[in-house]
Amino acid sequence: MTEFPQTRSSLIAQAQSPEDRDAWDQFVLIYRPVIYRMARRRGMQDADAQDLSQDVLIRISKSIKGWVPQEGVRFRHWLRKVASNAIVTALTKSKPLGIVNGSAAEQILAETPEASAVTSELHDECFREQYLRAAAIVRVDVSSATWAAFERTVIQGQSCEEAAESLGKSLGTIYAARSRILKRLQLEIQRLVGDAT
Amino acid sequence: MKSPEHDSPTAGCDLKRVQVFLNSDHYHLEDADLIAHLDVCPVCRKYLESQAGEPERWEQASKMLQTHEFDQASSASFSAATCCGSEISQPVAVKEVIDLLVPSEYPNHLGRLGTYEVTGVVGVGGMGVVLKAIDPSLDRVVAVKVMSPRLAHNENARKRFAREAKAAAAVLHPNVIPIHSVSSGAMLPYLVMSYIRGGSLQKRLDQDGALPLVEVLRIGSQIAAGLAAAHEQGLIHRDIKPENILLEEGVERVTITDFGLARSVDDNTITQMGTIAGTPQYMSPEQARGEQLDQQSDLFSLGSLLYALCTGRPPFRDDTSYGVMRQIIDEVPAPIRKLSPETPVWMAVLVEHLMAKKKEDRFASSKEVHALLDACLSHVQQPSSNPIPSKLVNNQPSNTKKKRMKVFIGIGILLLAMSATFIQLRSNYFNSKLMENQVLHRLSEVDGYIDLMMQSRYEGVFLNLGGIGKDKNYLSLKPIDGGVDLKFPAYDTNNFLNKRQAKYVDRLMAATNSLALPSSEKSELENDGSVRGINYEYRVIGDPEAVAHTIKRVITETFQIDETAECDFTFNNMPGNYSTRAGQRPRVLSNEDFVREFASGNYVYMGEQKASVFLIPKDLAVEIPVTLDSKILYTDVRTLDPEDVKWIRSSK
Repeated sequence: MTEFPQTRSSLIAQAQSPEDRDAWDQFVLIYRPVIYRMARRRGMQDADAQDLSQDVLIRISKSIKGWVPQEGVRFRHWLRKVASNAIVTALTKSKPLGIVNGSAAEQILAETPEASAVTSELHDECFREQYLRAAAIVRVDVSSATWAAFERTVIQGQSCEEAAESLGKSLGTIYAARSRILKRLQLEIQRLVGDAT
Repeated sequence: MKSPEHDSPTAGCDLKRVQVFLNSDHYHLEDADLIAHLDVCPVCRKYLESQAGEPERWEQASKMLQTHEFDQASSASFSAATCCGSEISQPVAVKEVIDLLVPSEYPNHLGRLGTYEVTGVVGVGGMGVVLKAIDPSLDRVVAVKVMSPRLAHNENARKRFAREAKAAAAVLHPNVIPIHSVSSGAMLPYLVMSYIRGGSLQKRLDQDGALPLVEVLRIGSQIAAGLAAAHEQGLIHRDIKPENILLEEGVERVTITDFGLARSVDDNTITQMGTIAGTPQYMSPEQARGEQLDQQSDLFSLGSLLYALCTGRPPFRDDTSYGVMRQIIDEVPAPIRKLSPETPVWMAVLVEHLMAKKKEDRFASSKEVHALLDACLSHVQQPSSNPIPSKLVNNQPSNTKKKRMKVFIGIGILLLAMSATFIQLRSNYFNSKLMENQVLHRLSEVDGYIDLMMQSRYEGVFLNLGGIGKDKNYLSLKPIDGGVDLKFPAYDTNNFLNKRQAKYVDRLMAATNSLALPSSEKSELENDGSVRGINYEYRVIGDPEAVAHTIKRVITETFQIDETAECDFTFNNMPGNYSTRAGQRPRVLSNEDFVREFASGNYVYMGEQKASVFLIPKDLAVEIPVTLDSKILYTDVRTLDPEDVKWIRSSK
């Protein structure tokens, strides 16, 4: 278990309202593993990737001071733009730009093709992380046998018949379980993603 | 599948039933007939799958949930990915230890460590691996805890291991695992313990869920006894959790194991590395904050463990360790009796007391807890001759009593529907300081409102009955231990210029006199010595229903609720104690809808934050902590139509 002490004490305190703090918490939950994975994919070692994800988050959190509530701009939207810029900068090793504001960030992103590839990868990774979170939520709520039926047939690609046999369940149970989980998963992902957009 | 197959719906097909099954809110709703039908009917199976999601959705699920290369990286456990992947492979630590064993002469054995023949792996603990081994000299089975090779390189860690082993060995108690020997000089330091046949309490929880009360008390009492012995030696376990409690097979004995994280109280040199060790779910708040620990930390963990035994689930759960720790620090778990209504109140009180956020609020010692649990066990086994310990009845932590009192008052006081035509909120939105909120209501709504407020998490309710000069005249109702405290500070009563004021004081005194309530009057003096006002204070103590009845009488007699008079209610701003579920948000409403909902009487004014004003459903207002989800409504306070709701600049 890796703690993220900087986040909890000093950094979160910089986001003044509980609503913003909550947005920040959610943000860290999603982005930290995302940055980590993207860094690993670029050949970084475990420790380096962790450091990088922490560094980037710290830099982003520092920019929270610059957040001024304004009409029509939600904190989490602003945060996402700032983050996208910081992450792309960190991963494309382009010269450090510091944290720039939304519009400036968009300009920069529009300029380099490499950056735009990273941006789309970032987008995909964030979605996947949210999907994984949704799955984690659903998994806690269902019995382990129900989850196993879904895991084996949908994730691991076993046939329903094989799964029924290996789990000692009836075929109907397997079908019922996997369909219910898929349905529930979609509701959960809608809730998570819907909230973040 | 060799069962008869059909290509078109048969008489047995009921597509609507498939829909209901799939969309049921009761997620665990089972429909055995439908499932049996699905066994044989490909048509319904196909329909079920198509209703669960389009083919792309099935593909998406498969694609998104595949384990990727970096999901399972050892230290990247903060990702949700680790929650979903398949079984995590055997920890590296085990392999490393086994690789370092001396080859054994017996082909079935894993190897040899010192004179011990290692026959298997029991598990992985805080600082190393636990092996099952045979002690050839005594021909007995033992458990050998071997320090992980990575840590063995670290001189400080070795010292700590040795110190812990010695400390743990010094505790001789039937409920603490006996340590037979310690070897700290070897390449891999290890300690040899009794091998206990049976499973951990965690395993039992996984299998059976919540345990019967008598079992909870039996197990709890033994853990407390073991802890008391360890605490007497100055040890803190630091990692009390179901996994570290062994249930011996066939014997009703409970053994605390893995003092791997235990350390002496006065040892704060080596372990001040700032790292947090242990499963977070059972950590104490001070542990989660990374503070210095004392024995009280174990009491909190014991409380969390008892909570899990009563309800079948740990008190704090989240997708991440980080989330769990935040909850431990900030949040109050769901009441035990909500999850497990058959748990007696005194048991819930005991656990709540153990799990007090502030360590001063917990019990004094594990010895005391042991005695209490023992007495409770006797009570459950023979209720007639063994009363519930008085501490759990008369001396309940004030929080529980207050909460209970609030609920009873809520039942006791008649709830009047709020009228939709006249709602004034006196907002502090226009104030620079967010200190207090006030709601102006007709007096006819007084008791209804008190009902709501008493059920809410606010500390008390103030009825403001019209201010005189700079002083407000109000009645405050505050839940206290065993009753309610009524206060009426009446200012300017010496000249009774204000008729309403005088009237209320007269009626209040008449009402309280007729009820023979114990009272006190205290004059409040101005700086120049003149009388500023008189504080009337009444205590209503007794059984909750009677208290509620009395309060209701005092209020109705004092204020003789009529349709036209108004009064102010003052209470605290947004509750500090609330939680959010991932992805959940309060629901934003248009100003009109917001006002309509508020007028319906189904919602309680919750408070304001920035430019938003919040309403909470009545039934949720009793929950602590409040969960900020879509059941909570809010709207933009700045655009509220003054025709619907009058926003008045607060006078403060």
